[in-house]
Amino acid sequence: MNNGRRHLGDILFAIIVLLGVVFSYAYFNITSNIIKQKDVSKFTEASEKSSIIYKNRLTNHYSMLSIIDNLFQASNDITDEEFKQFSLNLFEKNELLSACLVKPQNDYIFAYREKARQLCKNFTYTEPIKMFDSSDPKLLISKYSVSQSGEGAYVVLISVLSSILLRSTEPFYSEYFIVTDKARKQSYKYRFTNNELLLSSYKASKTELQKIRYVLNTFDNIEFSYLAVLEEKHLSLQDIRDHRLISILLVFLFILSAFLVRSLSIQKNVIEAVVKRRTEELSQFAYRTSHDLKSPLLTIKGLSRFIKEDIDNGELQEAKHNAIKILEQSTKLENLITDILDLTKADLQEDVDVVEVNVEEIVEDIVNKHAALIERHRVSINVVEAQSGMIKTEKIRLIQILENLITNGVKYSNPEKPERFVNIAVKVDKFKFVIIIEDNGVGIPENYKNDIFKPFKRFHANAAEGSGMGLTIVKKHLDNLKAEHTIFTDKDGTRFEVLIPNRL
Amino acid sequence: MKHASVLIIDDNQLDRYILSRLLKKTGHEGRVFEANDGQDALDFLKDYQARKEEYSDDFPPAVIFLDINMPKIDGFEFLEKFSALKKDNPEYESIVFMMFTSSDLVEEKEKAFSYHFVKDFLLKGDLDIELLKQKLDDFLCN
Repeated sequence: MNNGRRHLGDILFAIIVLLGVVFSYAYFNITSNIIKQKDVSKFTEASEKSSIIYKNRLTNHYSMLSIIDNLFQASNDITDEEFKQFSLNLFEKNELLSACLVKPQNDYIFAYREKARQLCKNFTYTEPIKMFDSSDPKLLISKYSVSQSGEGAYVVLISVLSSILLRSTEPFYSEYFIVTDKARKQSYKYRFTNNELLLSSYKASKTELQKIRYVLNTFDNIEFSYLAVLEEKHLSLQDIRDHRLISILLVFLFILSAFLVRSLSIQKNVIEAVVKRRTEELSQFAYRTSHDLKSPLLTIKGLSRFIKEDIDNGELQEAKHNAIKILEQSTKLENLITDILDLTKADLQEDVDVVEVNVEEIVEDIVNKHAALIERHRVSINVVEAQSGMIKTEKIRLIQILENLITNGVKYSNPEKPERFVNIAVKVDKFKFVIIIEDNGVGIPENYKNDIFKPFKRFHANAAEGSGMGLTIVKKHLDNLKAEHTIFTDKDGTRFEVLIPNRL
Repeated sequence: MKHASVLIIDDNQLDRYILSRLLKKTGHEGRVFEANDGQDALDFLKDYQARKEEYSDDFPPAVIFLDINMPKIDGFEFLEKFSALKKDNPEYESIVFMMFTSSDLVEEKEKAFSYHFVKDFLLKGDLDIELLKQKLDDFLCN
């Protein structure tokens, strides 16, 4: 039955987790799609705006475009010197950039890039052009574009433009460029994506990076609009991240609630098990109680018959003898009933007063109460270590614990020993107190140690006084006081240590 | 049967007294052994030869009266251990058991009778001379 329920709880748990994952995945997908669509429209809008701005600004340069086209087309025919001069002019006026922006279609840009690449190959400069002053940011473009050996600088220049343009139409586009400065044996890695411009460089110094930034900064207007786009994109990326976070939180929430459902169902099982165990305990208790109450009664019944018989036969001495036995049995029955009541109280009492207690006084009271028993067994009760500080606890429980442990020490004293004792020691601190009750009695047999707290358990047939309830009562009180206990027992005696919280 | 010895296993000394007095009243003249609990009885029975030498014809007892609720080894545990002991000591084959208890639970009665050597289930409260005599006579006839 229990297993079945636990199984059901597990299935429920799995279903909720699964639902959570599916739901969160769907949520994330839908929201990020909406965001993506929004992004696309935002980008399109931004790029259209940018294009208009660029077109207006660049109208003046239309005339230059044909020259560039011609130049590119005729690149094989002009001399190095001519190209250098012309490109210098262009770069000073920032016109190549403008030229690239006039028709922001991919094919166009790629075509130009290819042309630029070709040109760079053809016009390789072995040393920097001296006339450029590197302190002038504008000139740096030229320097990087033209003066460096290899194709790198041109590619970068054109690629930055093309990727910016591409970015406005393809939101998730990204491109990498590796630029190698052969003279300095350094490589720069440029990554242009639609949502970020990532400049990474290995072996690049800070100044190198600054120079590259100069290059980009020279794109005045382009830079401006580019940044605007970038910002928008950044925002929506943040949105996506937020939603991703929400989805992850959702999954966790589902898992958490699933755990909750699961633990509740487990808890229910635990409670049911406890109830079942308690019911079994109770029925066992009822059986044992009725049996143990009945047992002395039946003995009294048998003895009473004998007394009647004895009186009939005139055997008055025998009758008296049996009457004394009846008295003993009645006392036993009385004690048993008291114990059962104590046990029931130990379990049911809740609001027991916490008061200041004096262990020595309690022990004295116990010794007085059980003087006859102690006298009969000739056991000396000693407080070997007195209480040194204040103790506050539930006095009624402490009294019953001590009473049962001390009288146990007396009842199960070893008659073969010349000196029989029960020694009590008390150690106190602010948080707890320990009471040690040690005797040199017969001890508890090794194989019964596990049963010592079970009701009606007795391990010594000779000790007729015991009801078998004493340690059960002690255990109930210890549990209620949240106390700990340790038992050392062998044939030479028993040592009980109880550690009880001091409720100062 | 009159002279047959019996063993009473009961932790309650008064109950042992009551039973042995009743036995005497029925005219039983045999030796009455007493054991405090199952462990005591097992200690008594485990060395057949020694006991035989000690008690000669009085050992082994013809009838064992067995209480159920006892400390250490209780009645049922004793029945189990006695079954094992009997395998090594065929002399114990003739011993019959009469449960002698204050428990009137059907389950316990059934459990006791599952051992073939348990012949009767006597309730402490019901037992008087007549009943005990009748039970012993029944057993004698069988």
